[in-house]
Amino acid sequence: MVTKSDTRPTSKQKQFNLLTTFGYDETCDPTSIISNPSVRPTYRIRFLHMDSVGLRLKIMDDLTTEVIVPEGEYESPDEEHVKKSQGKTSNFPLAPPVFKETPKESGFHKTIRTCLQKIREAMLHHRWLEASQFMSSYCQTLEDTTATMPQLQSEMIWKMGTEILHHNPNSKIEDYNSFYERMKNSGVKQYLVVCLEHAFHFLVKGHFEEAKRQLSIAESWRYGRKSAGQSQRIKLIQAYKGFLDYLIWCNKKATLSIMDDPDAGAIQEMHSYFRQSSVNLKEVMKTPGVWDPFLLSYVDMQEFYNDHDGALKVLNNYSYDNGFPPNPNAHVYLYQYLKKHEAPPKEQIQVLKILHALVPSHALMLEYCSLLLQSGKQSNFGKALGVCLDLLDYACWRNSLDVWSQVKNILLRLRTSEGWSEIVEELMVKRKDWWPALHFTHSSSSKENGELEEIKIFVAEVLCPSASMYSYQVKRQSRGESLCKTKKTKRKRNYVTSRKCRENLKRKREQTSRGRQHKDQCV
Amino acid sequence: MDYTFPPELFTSYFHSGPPNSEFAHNVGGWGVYGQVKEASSITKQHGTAATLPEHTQFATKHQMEGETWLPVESLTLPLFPPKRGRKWHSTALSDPLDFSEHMQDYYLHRSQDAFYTMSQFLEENLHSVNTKGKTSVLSRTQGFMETLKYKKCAVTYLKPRIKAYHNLLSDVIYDIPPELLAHNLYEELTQQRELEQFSEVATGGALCYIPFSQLNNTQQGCLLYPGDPGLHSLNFHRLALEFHAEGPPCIDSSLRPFSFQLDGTVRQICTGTPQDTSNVGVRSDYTCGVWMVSEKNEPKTVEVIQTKEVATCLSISPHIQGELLVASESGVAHLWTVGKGLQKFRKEDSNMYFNARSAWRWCDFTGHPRVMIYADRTGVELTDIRTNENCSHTLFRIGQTPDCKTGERVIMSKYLREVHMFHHLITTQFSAYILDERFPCIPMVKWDHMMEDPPMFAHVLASNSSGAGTTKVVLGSQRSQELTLLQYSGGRQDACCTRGPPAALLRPRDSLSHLPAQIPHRHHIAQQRLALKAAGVTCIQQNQGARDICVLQLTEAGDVFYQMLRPQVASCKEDVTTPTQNSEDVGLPTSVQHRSSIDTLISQDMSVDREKSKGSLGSTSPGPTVDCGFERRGTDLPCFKVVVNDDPEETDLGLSGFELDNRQGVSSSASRPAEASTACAARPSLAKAGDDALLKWKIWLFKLVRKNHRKQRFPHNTIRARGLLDKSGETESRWREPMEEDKRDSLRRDVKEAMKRGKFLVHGATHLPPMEPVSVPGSVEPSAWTDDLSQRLSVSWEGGWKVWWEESLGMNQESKMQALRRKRRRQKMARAHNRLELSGSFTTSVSYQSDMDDLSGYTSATSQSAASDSEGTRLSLFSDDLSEPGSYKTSQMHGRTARVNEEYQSSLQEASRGLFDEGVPSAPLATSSQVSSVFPSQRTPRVGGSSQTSLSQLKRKKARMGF
Repeated sequence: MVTKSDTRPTSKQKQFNLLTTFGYDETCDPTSIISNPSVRPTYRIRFLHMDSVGLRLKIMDDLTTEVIVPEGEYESPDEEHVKKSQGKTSNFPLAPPVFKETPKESGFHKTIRTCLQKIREAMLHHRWLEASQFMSSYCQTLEDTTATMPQLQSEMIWKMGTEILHHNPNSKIEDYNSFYERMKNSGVKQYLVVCLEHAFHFLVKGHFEEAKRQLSIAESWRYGRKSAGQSQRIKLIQAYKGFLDYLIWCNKKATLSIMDDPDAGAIQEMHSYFRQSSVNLKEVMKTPGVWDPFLLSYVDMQEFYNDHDGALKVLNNYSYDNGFPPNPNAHVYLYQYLKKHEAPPKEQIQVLKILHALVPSHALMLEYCSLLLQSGKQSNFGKALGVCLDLLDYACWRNSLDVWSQVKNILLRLRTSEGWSEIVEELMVKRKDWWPALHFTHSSSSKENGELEEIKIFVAEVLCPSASMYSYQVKRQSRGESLCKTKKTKRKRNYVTSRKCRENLKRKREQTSRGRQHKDQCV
Repeated sequence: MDYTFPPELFTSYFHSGPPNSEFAHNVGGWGVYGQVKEASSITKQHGTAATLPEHTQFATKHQMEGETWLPVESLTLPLFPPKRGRKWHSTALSDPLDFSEHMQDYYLHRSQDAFYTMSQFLEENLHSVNTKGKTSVLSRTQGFMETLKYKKCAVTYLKPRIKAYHNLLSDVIYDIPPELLAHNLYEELTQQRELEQFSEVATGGALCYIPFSQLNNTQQGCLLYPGDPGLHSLNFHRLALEFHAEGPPCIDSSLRPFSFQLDGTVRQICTGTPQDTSNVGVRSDYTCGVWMVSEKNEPKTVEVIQTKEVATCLSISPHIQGELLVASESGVAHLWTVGKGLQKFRKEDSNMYFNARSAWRWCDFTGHPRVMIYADRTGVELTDIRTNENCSHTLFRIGQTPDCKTGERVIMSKYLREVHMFHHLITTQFSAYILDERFPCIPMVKWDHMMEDPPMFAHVLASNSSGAGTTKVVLGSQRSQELTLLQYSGGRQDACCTRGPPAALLRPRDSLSHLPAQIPHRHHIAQQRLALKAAGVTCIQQNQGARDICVLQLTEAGDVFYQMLRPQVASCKEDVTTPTQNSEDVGLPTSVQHRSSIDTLISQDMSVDREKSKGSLGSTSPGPTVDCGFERRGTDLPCFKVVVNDDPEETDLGLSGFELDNRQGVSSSASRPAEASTACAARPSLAKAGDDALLKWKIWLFKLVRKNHRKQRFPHNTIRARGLLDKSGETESRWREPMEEDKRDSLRRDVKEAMKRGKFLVHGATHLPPMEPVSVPGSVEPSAWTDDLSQRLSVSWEGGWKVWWEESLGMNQESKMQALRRKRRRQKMARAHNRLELSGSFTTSVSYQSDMDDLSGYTSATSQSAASDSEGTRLSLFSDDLSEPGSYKTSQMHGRTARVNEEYQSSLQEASRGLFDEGVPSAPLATSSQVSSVFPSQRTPRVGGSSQTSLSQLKRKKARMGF
C-alpha cells in the first residue's frame, strides 16, 4: 500500500490530481463523504497515482472506448427511427429520471449516483463550497472502466467543474487552464467544444493571444472520421479564428492610418490577416445560420479594399437566401450598406419593403415612410400610411408622437388627392373592429399629453368616424381640468363609497349625452 | 425601447431537421459560455479608435455572473391557515400491475355488481339443487369470498363444493369477463399513473396576483386562488404587502376572501395587464368565465361560456379589454370578445409538425393585437387572424436549430408582455427558451432548467425601471413542486444573454425537515399534505426598486405557501489578496509557490467547511442548510413579521397546545446559529429565521391535524367508554373551583418562568396552599422478621438474593467445598510455616477430617471451629499479608450461622477474585479487598450480636493503620 506521504515527493512532475483543482486539501480523505467502504481504497490510491503516464493511459482507454462504442452522432437516421418506434409508448412529455438505479450496479455506481445527486442539489442551491467538496470525490468516476458512457461522465464533470470554478473567488487562470486541459483529454468527443470554451474563457478574461492559440490548436485537431456536428464545430472554430484575425486587422488598420508613411511590411502583414480572416469568415457564412458579427467584419474588410460587389453579394445572400433564417438584421445591414454608399432610393425602398413584411414594428419603418413620401408618388402615400398604421398596431409605438404626427401629415397630404377615401377605407377595414378599443378609449386617453390628444382626435375623426366618442371624451377632459385633478386625488384613496361612484357615473353619462347632442347639431 | 432590435446577435447554426441528440444528463446548464461576440460593436463600426485586440471587451451568450437572490428564511411559510383537504390523498404513484388487487377488491366488496346477472339466473336452480335450501347463492358467494379474503393457498383450502361450482360456472358467473376487466383496468391504471405524473389541464397555474396601488411602501393587491377540497371555489383575497427599507417585509392577509362557488375544478386563472379594472379569466374543464376586479368595488362575474371539449387554455388580452383566447382539445382556438361571443380563428385536427399524439392546444397573444400564438406539443406558430385563410408562420418548433433533444415537447408558452413587447417564453421538459417574435425560429436565449418535472407554471419579473438588472423567470413544476429561478438580460440595445446559473428555490415539501420533530401520525398527515402537487406559481414585487420578491406557490389542497427572496450584494465577496500576475515572472518556482499559496488558501476554506458540513450534514436536526457558497454574505438577516390571520379562539387553542413545544423549538433554533458561528463565521445564519416562522408553522400544523381529525372507525364494534374515566367533566370543574383564575394564571406563569431558566419550581415560591406534612414511616428492623420470606427479602435488599437461593437450595456445595479446601490448605501452609512441630501434622489430619465431614453436610461444625479458633486469633496478625482478612475474622463465629457466613464470605471472595461472572447482583466491585471489607459491615445487622467480628475488624484496621 502506498500512502499519500509517499506520493507527494514524487509528484515533481505535473500531477493529474483533479482534487487540487477544486481546492482539495490533501490532509482530508476525499471519499469520507461517500459512504462506501468496500470500493473506496483502491480507487483512491489509483487516483492519487495518476501522473502523466496515467493520463496517457487514460486517453488510450478513452480512445478504445471511442472506437468500440460509437455515440449517437454516428447513427444513421434509420436506426434512430427504429429506436423511436420501439421506444416509449407514453406520449407524456416527461424527462427521463436523472438518478435511475440500474439493475446491475456495483456499490461504486451507487455511490456515484448519490454523489452526483448531492452535487446537483448543492449547485442548484448555490452552495458552491459543498459542491466542490463532493466534486473532488466525484472525479473518481473517470476511473470506472465499466461505465457505459465514459464520455458522458467526463462531460458532466467538465460542466459542473467549470461552474464551480467560476464561483470560486480563489480560482486563477492557471486553475482554469489545467482543468480545461484535462477535460479536453479525458474525452475525445468533446475536445473541440472544450477548446472553444477555453478560448472563450481567455477572451472574456482578456487573454487575446492565448485564445487565438487555443483556436489554432483546436483547428489543427484531427481524429478519425468527423461527424456532422464535429465538422460544423471546426467551421465555427475557424470562423472565430477569422474573427480574431479581423480584430487584429482592425488594429493594424487604425495604426497604419495614423502613421504618415507606413512601411510595406506592415501593410503586407495587414493584408495577410485580411486574407486569413476573409477565407475563414466566408466559409462559415455559406452555411445557414446567424452570423451577424462575422458578416459585419467581413463586409467591413471588403469595404476597405473597395470590393463592393463582394460585400453586396454576401449581404444579399445573407438576406435573401431561403436556407437562412429570417434575420431582420440581415436586411438592416443591407439597407445600411446601401444607404452608406448612396444607392438609389428605389433599392433602399425595396430592402425596407421586405423588412416591413418581416418586422412591421422595426424602427427603420419611420425611415421607410419618409422615403416613400420623398418619392412623391401618389401611390406611395397610401403605402406610407399603411406602414404608419402598422406601427401603431404595436404597443411600443402606440403613444409615439412621431408616428401619430406622421399619420396626420400623410392624411393631410392625401386629402388633396382623389380617391383617398378608398385608400383609407382599404386600410381601415381590417382595423375598424378593434382600433377604437385599442387607441380611442377613455383609459388610453388619460395617459396622453395634450399634443398627442389633439393629433389623435384629428386622426380618429378621419379614420374611425365610428369612434367619434373619443374626441368628446378627450375634449371634455381637457375642458374640465379640475375634474381630472379631483379624480386623481380620489384614486389615491383606497375605497370610495359606492354612492359617490354612482354620482360620478351619472354625471359622466349626462356629459356624454350632452356631447352627442352637440355633435348632432353640428352635423 | 422595445422596438429596438439588437443590432448584433450571437452566432448560431440554422438547421431545419428533426432533433438528433438524446437527453443524456441533467447538468447541461452549467459552465458553458455558449457563444461570444464583441461587446462594443457600435464603436468599432465607426472605427476611429485604434484599440488593441487585447482590450476588446467580449460578451458571452451565457454570463457566469447573475444576481444572487437568496431566500430570507430557510423554509417556505404558509400564507393562510389550512383548509379542509380532500378526504384521502396519496402522493405515491399508482402501479398498473396492481390491477389484480383492484379486481379482488371489486369481487369482494362489489360482489352484487360483479355477479349480478348470473346470480339472478341461477338462484332458483341452485336453490332446488341445494338439499337444505337455506343458503342463498349470494351468501355462498360471500362465503367463497370470505375464503379468498385470507391469503391462504387457494387450492388447498378450496371446499369441494365451491370447487365444483367453480368448475361448472367459472366461465359464466362473471358479469364482465375477467380478462376484459383486467385489460381495461390495466389501461385505466396506466392512464391514471400518467395523469398523476403530469396532468396537462393544470398548465398555466391557478394562482394570480393583481397589484392595485402602492402607498408608503405598502402594496395593496388581490390574490386570486382556488379554494375548497376540490378547488371548486374562486377566492379573491385582498393582501397588503409592506416593504421596508431596512426592516423585514410583512404580509397582511387578515381580510376575509371574497369567494365564488364554481361548478368545476379551477384549472387556470389568468389576468390581463393591471389597470383600474382588471379582467380575470378562469378556466375549468368545460367552462370558462371572466370576472372583473377593481380596487374599489367587489369582484363580479362578467360572462361565462361553456365548451364542448375540455378547454386547455385561456388567456386574456393585454391590449384590448374584454378579449380572451380559448383553446380546447378539439384543436379549435377561439377569440372570445366579452359581450360578442366566440369567433373561431384556427382549427387543427392533428399536431402541427409531427404526430405527438397529444390533443393539448395553447393560445396566447403577441405584440400585435391581431396576431395570435397557437401552440401544441410540437411547436408554436404565429397566426394572423385578420385574414380568413390560415396565415401563419413558425415561431418555434421542436427541431435541430434550438438543439432540442429527442422526445422534447412544448410544455407551455407565455407572452412576456410586462418584460418585453416581443418576447415569448416557451418551456419544454428539458429547457426554457426566450423567443423574439420578430426573429422567429431561433431562440434568443436557451436555458437547461434542470428540473425533474416539466415546468408548467411560470412567472416573469421585469428588471427594474431603469433597465439595469436582470429579468427573472420563475418556473414551477407540478409533481415535484420545484421552483427554479432563471435570469436573463438584453433584448433591446444588446443581444439577450442568460445570467448566472439556475437557482432552485424552496419547496413546501422540504419544510418539515426544518421544523422540530412531530409526532409520527401528525408528521405523516403533514407530509402527505405538503407533498401534494403544485397548482400554480406567482410572484409579488415592489413597484419601485427590486428589493424583495415574494414567491407564492399553490398546492392542490388549496394551500398557498410563500417565500421571500432578497438580493445579495456581490460586493462582500471575499477579497483574496494575491500577488498581481506579471507576464515576466512566470518562472517555475514562483508559479509553484503561487500554486501552493492558493492551495493553502483553499484548504483552509475547505477545512472550515468540513467542520461545517459535519455539523449540518451529520445531524438530523434542521440545521442551517442554506449555504453561502464562497461568498461572505450578510450574516444578520432579519426574520419578518407575520400578521396571523386566524380565528381568535383557534389561535388561542393552538397557542395553548403548542407554546411549550414552540419554546423548545425556538431555543434549539436559537442555539444552532451559535454553534454554527463558532464553526464558521462565513455561513449566513439563515436558520435564525426561526421564531415567527416556527410559530406560524406550529399553528398551521395544529390546525391541519384538527381539520383532519375524524372519528376513528375501528374494524370492530366499540362501546362508548369515554365518560367512565374522563375527568375532564365534573372532576375538572370540582378541581378548579378552589383555584381562582388569577392564581392559576400566576402559577402557569411561574412554571413558564422556571422552565425558561431551567430551574425547579419550588412549592413555597408559588401561591398554592401549603401542603399537609406527611409523616415519615418508622424504620424497619430486619432482625424482627425471622421468617423465611423476610430473611430472603432483607438479603435481596442487600443484593445477596442469588446467593441466598443457592444457599438454601444447596446448589453451591461443590464450590464451597473447594473454597474450604483451599482455605484449609492455606491455613495448613501458614501453620507449617509458623511452627514446624509434630502437632502440625495432627491438625492437618483434623482439617482433613473436617473436610470429610463437610461432604456429609455441616455436622462437625463445632469441632472444626474449635480447632481453628486458636489459630485464627494468632493468624489474624498477618492477615494483611494474605489479603483475605474476611475469612479470618469471621472464622471466630460460632454456630451454624457463623459458619454459613464464613463460607459465604470465602466463596464470595473467590468469586470476586475471579471474573465477577458469578452473578452477584450488587457487587460489581473493583477489588477483592473492597468486597471483603464492605460486605461484613453491611451484613452486621442481620448476623446480630457478633462483637467479635467488629473486634477483629478493629484489629485489622489497626494493622492497616500501622502501615
